[in-house]
This record gives sequence, structure tokens and C-alpha cells, in this order.
Amino acid sequence: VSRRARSAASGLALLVCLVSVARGASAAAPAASTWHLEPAHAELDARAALASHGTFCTAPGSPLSPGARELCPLAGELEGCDALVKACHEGELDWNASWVQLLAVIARVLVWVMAAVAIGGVLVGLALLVRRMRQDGALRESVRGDAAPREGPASQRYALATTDAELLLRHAADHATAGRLDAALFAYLGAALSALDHRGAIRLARHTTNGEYLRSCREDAARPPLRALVRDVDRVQFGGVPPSAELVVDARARALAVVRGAGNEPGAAVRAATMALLVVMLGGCGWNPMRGGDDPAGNELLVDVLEGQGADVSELATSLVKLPAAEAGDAIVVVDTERTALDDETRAHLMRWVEAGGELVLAGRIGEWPADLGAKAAEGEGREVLFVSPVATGGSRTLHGKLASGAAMTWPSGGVPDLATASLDTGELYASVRAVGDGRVLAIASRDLLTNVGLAAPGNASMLVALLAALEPPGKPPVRAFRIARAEQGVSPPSNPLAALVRVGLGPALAQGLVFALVLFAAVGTRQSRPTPEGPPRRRAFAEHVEATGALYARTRAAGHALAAYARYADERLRAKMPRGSDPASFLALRSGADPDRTAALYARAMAARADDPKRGDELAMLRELSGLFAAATRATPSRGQRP
Amino acid sequence: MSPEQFALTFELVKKEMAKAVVGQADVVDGVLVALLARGHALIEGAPGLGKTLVVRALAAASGCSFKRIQFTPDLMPSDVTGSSVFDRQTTAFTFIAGPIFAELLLADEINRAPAKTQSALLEAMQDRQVTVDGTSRALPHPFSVIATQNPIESQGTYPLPEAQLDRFLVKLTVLDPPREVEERIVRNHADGFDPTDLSRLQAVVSPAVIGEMQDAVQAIRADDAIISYIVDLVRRTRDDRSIELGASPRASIGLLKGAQVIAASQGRSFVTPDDVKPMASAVLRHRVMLHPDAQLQGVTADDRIAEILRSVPVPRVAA
Repeated sequence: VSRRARSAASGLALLVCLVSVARGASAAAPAASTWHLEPAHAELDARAALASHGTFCTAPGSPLSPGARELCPLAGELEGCDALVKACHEGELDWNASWVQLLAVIARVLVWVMAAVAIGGVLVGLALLVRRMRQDGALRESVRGDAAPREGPASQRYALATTDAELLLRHAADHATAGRLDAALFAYLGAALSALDHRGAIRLARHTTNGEYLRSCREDAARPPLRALVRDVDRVQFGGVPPSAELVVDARARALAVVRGAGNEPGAAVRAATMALLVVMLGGCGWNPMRGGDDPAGNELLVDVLEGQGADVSELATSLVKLPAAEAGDAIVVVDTERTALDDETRAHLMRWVEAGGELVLAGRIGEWPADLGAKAAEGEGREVLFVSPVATGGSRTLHGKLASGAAMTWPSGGVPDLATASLDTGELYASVRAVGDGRVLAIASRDLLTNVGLAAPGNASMLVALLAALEPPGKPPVRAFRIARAEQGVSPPSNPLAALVRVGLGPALAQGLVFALVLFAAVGTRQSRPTPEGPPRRRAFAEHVEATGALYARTRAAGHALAAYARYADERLRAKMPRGSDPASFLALRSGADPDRTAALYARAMAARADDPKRGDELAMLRELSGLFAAATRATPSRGQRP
Repeated sequence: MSPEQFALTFELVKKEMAKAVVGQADVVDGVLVALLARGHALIEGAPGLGKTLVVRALAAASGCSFKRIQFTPDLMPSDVTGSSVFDRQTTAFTFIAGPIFAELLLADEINRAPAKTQSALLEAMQDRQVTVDGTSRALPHPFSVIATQNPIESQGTYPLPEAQLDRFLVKLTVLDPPREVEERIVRNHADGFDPTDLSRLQAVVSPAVIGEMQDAVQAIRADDAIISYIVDLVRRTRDDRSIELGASPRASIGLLKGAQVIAASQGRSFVTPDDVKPMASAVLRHRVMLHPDAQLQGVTADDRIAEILRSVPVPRVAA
């Protein structure tokens, strides 16, 4: 340990002793007197806190956040903060660099993949659960049916009402203990098959034989014990071999090897990889590389300073929009709008809460403040701050502070006097305490006084405490509690989980997940459905009947029958169209424009055809010719049904 | 003969046949099952796929007497069974035995003969005897007919009547061999293999041993649950909407016999559902007549049998 480090350590220890003595003295006083906002104590508290929580000074997180970087001008004002000064001089991360952009794209893709995997996993899990419940339900029903006394083979009597392999193992053990050795054997086989089915190595089905399970098993390690198990069970079930205790013991060992020895389970590696990926992803999402107190823009010193004043300081427990109606003695709420973004609903509620008697410390970005407050951001020139209190008396006490940059505001009084103010050395208003309705507001134009670096700067802690002292309403019980709003508490909470997902930008993913679920259900969901009786067969179209009939004729070589049937069909249609008393053949020739003699011969031959006529070989040719004439005569193209 | 000895002998015959037959494992198994179950086999396939070679190889490996009849449109029943011829010296009719008097009969291209000639085999296949001129003559033991036929769509063929088809225990379908098998076949021929000369095949068993194996098959145990399963399968063919005519009880018997041979060939003394299912298609496919609508839709008997196998639960413990 170097000499310089030893001296620094002893100096810090001395400071801690001084602060302890001071706090001990104050603690010894009556409780009502502990709440004396003493600027002088605040300075000591700030120094002690710098010693205990000064990591932001000696080893700040790197690179500095944009908020912390804005506070860099104050770093030079602090003693022993060389590391912070050095960090301030380091180059800022170029957020537009190509590799940063690439990382951002990768991160987005990974997030989407994770979301898709999560949704898919849930849906698949649900589908499997439903499937298993249906299987179990069916088995239970079958068992209830078997409960009635009836005779049947052993395999039927010992049907088991579960698909849980471990439960089946216990059933088997119970059977073995009770001396039902054949039932024990069957249960052990059932346990093995159930476990394999659960792991996806086989697929249980009523029509699948044990040998088929064995051959289709995807787990190499499970095959030898399953083969032996199947052999023994088959010997008992089909071979007439009486079950023995030795068989049951062997079966138990083999079933256990299958059920619990899932060493080469293909899903194991996938699961391990998924878990590793999840851990990495969750680490990337939730792991904060900034250690406690090493953020220059953090608020650890604020907490220490306020606690040094005897106050109870903690984070706000509820959302700002749900702050209950203020009562005397309630906590002062501290809101840094650089850190806690406010939405419109929260701003409105915050104003109502203050007007009802709440006490609020508002700092940070002025544009985020409630508009009804009337404060506007203004250009500030200087960095020195001058505190004057009380305003009404023209100032009996003045304090000096230092800011990182000039920040000022305008806050029209509207006839309401300022209870205390702090102004820049150039005259612009920096902070003001004012009554608003029944409550009071301490408005500070920047967040400097609430940050670690800001409070570590000489004079700033006492100035903050002096401003807070002005917030104390006269004649009311002293407020001893401060509640600091967290980053997410400025936004009204969603009304339901769906709204939460939509608000964080997962609405499209949710919609896609629902569409995916619908598609998945349409694709495979019907497999899980209960089989229903088939409806009556669809009636065939006439053309299909004709095609089937034609194909039958062709197969049976019944060309004569086909010609006869078609001739009668054509004759019937022609007689429906032609004038009464005329000759169908003449009508056919006239309408089709064919040779009358040829048509008459063809028609006569076709009408005379019989199914049992000896084959002449030209029946199909005649049928085709007659079909053509008929189509021409009826001025219609031959339909599929009219083709021979 | 014990099931273990049966399995060893079965493998021995198969191994010997494999010296001449490359691939076609299903057909080899099928003809062996038919022979050992005291049944007959019908092999269907396009020309040139080795149907005849399988039968000749079986004859050579089993040591059974072998006759071959090439069925043609002008073949007469007496050409199959034999006939009585008048002997002038003895002035009496003498029976000249036909080729059917052999332990293994190859009825090559059986569907090229008309139904009358095909029917000459009916009595022989069912009763293992032939009746000529009122005299019944017993056929040798063992006796098995292995017929081959080209697909029914080929020209110049006569479809086998249902009664004839039902006599065949199994109908085996020969498919085109995979590429690597075909390359091995061609390589064998390039190396001098002559399919007409099977002299290098040895008779690894004798007809007597075949008879012992047939007796051993009868002793294979079939549990009631197995019999019930077989009957369920066959009866389901009669209820199927795509099947106009289902399989007969003879099919149930054939399925049981085939399963018994399969069980014995694996050294088991009892039948399991795993022995029944592989035999179902071979035993049932020629015994079911599809509905014309189903035929028009391209449904095959094998498709329906596979569906029936999927619809009938096997007798085992529910898990």
C-alpha cells in the first residue's frame, strides 16, 4: 500500500469519525429536534458520503453515460476525483459507429427471436398439455369402463389410467408388492413406452406393436433395455409363460433404465443450449455493469445527505399517478424529470396532488414538468448560484453553490410570493420554493443538486438543504420522509397485461403470435380433436358417373353395351327436340349436315346394338361418330359426359 | 424341431438362395413362408424381375423335386395333371403322371392359360391330390405351387378366378430393384453368373426336413388375443367401404399360419402381433375385391389393408 493511499485512507477515516460524532450528537437530542435542516451539517454529511459512496469519484463506470457527462464541468471542482476527470476526458462512445449499429440490429433480432421462441414454446406446451389431458381422460374412461366386472384378457384388465411414466412405475411396484406379477410387467412396459413417447422417441398409438415401437425408437441407448423388456412381456402375454419374480425384477431394471436413463436424449442438448442462451440474453438485458455509487449522475449522495439530516429516505412505492391524497406529515416526493419521464396523466395528477397539499421537489428537464405550474426554461449565463432566504425579509442568510452548466427558468409568480429562491450569479432564477394550492413545490432548473457530483461540489449540499427547509410549511408537523421517484414511475401503469405488451412495442409480436397460433391450430390442431363419424358420402356429379361408367365399359370391354346405351340416350334427346312424327335419323342428318344415307345406316345400326352382340370391333368408332353428329345436331359442343 | 433350430435352418436356406438371388428379400421370405406353412404362393411382377429365378433357387436350396409348367393359352388340364393312356400290350389304361407330381411346382405365367386349365390346380392346391378318370392320386409331401403372373393389365392374359386366388396363401409383388441392387445383378452377370445354371447351389435341407419344419410350425402357440386380432383384421376387410368383397375365413387361417412361420423363423415358440402385421398385405391383397369407385380413385388393395392395420388396435397393454 502506498503512502499516499494510506494518508487518503486516514483522512477519510477522520471525516467519518467527525460525521459519526455529529450524528451521534444529533441522535442524542429529542426526536422532534432531529429534523433540523442544517446546511452546515449537510456539507459534513456530503463529505462523509463522498468517503463512503465516492466510487463515482475514484472509479467511475466507464464509459460515462450522457447524463453523467453533462456533469463533467463539476469534476474539476472536487478533490481526489482524478479518475472522474480522466473519464470525462475519454472519448464519448460513437453511437453512430457501424459496429454499434450492427450490435443494435443483432440485439433487435435476438429479442424478436426470443419472443417468437417464447410464444412458440408456450403454445407447443399448451398443445402437448391438452393432448396429454385428452389421452389421460380417454384412458380414465376406459378404466372406468373396465371397473365393471367383466371377463377379458389380462392386458385389458390392467389398462392403466395415466401416461405419467413415474406414476406407472409406482403402479408397477404396487402390483409387484401385491403379487400381481403380470400386471406389474405390463405396467413397467407401459412406463417405458410412456417415457419414450414423452421424450419424442416414439409415438404411442393403438395400432402400433411393441416391435414397431422398438424399431422406431429414436434413442439408441433405450433400445437394448426396451428390447429385453418387450421380449419378456411378449413371452408372458402371448407365449403362455407364467410371470415370475425374476422377470419382474428384470423388467423393473429395464424400465428404470428407459425412464430415467435419458442420457442420449436429443432434446437434452437443445435444452441446455436454450438455457445457456436464455442466461446470456437475460444477463444482457438485466445486468447493470455500473456498481452502486459509481455513477456520477446517481443519487446515493442525496440519500446520504438527507438521511444525515435525520430524514427517512426511500424510493417511491407506487406510481406517481397513484399518489394518494396528501395529508399533513406525508413524505416529500422528489422527481427528477431527467430520470423519471412523466406522461400527461401523471403530470395532471401530480398537479392535483400538490394543490391538495402535497410537497414536491421537481428538478431536471423543465419541459417535462406539469404545464399548469407555469415554469419555462430560460438561458442561464453563469454557473455560480446564490441562495437567499427568506425572500420576504430580503435575505438573512446567503449560500453559494456551483453548477455544471448554466440552467435557469422563468416562473411567473401570479401573485404568489417565493418562499426562497436561488439565482445564478448573472441574475436568472435557478430554484424557487412556492406555495401551489395547499401544497408547496421546490422547482430546480437542473438536476445538478440531486446528483452525486452535484452534491459533492462545495456548497451545493447546504444549498439543497436550505431550499428544502423553505419547503417546510410553518405550523405543521415537520416532514421527515422523502420518497424518490424511480425511472418507470412517471408513466401510468397499463390497465391490463395486453396493454402492457402493446405499450412496450410487443403489439405486432403479439398479433403475429396469435396468427401463428391460429395457423398452428389449423395445421395440426385437428389431430388433437375427437374423431367424429364421417358424414354421408358426397354425391357424385353426373359427369363423374359417366366417366366411371365409361371406364367400367373399357375395363370390361363392353363396347357393344356402351353403343346401345348411348344410342338410346341420343334417340331420347332427339325425339324431345324434333317435330312430332319425323324420323330421328333424318332430323340428325338435316341438323348436322351429314350424309343422310350414311346417317340413317349409322343410326339404324346403333339403335339395333345389344349388350350381348358379338364383338365387331367398330363399336367405339361408331359411338364416336354418333356422338359427333349428335353434338352438331343439338348445336352444342360435346360435354365430358357425352364423349364415349 | 425346436424354434431355435427352425430359425437356424430358415436362415440357412435363405443364405443359400442368396447365392443366386440378389435382393428381393420380401419375395424370398414370402415363398419360404408359403412352403413352410403348407401353402402356395402367387408372385406377380413385370417380366425380367427374377420371379422364376427365386422359385428355382428355392427348389435347389431345399432339395425338393421341381417341375415347371409354362402356362400358355392352349395348355390343357391334362397337360398339368397327367392322363390315362391306352397301353396296347397290356390292353389297359396306364396313368402318365403330369408335372404336377412334384414337391415344388412352378406354374409360370399362370394367367396366360384360360380358366379351365387354371382350375386344374384347384384340387391339387386344396386337397393335395388330383383326380383323373375318377381315380384320386395323392401328391408328394411336401407339395407347394408357386405361380408367377404378369400384371393383369398385360395383353393376352386371363384373370385368375376368385376361387383360384383364394387358394394361394400369399400373393407377392415384385418391384423394380433399387439401383444398387440392379448394379450388383448386372455385375454378377458380367462375372459369369448364368441364371439357367444353378448347379452351384446346394441342397442345404431335404424334403424330410422341410416336412419337419412344417410340423414345427403347427406347434407354434397362438394366444387367444392373437387369434382375436387376426379375426378383427380380416373381418374389417368385409366392413370397409372401399372393398366390395372382403377376405374369407380361409384368409384368417392363412394369416395365422404365415404368422406362425414368421414367429418360428425368429426362434420364438409363440406368435405376437409383430408376426401378424408383416403378413397381412401378402395374405389379404389378392383376397379382397375393391369397389369400382375405389379403383377409379386409384386406391389399391395394399392401401386399404394398411389403413385397416392402422385402425385395429393390437392386443397389448394400454399405456
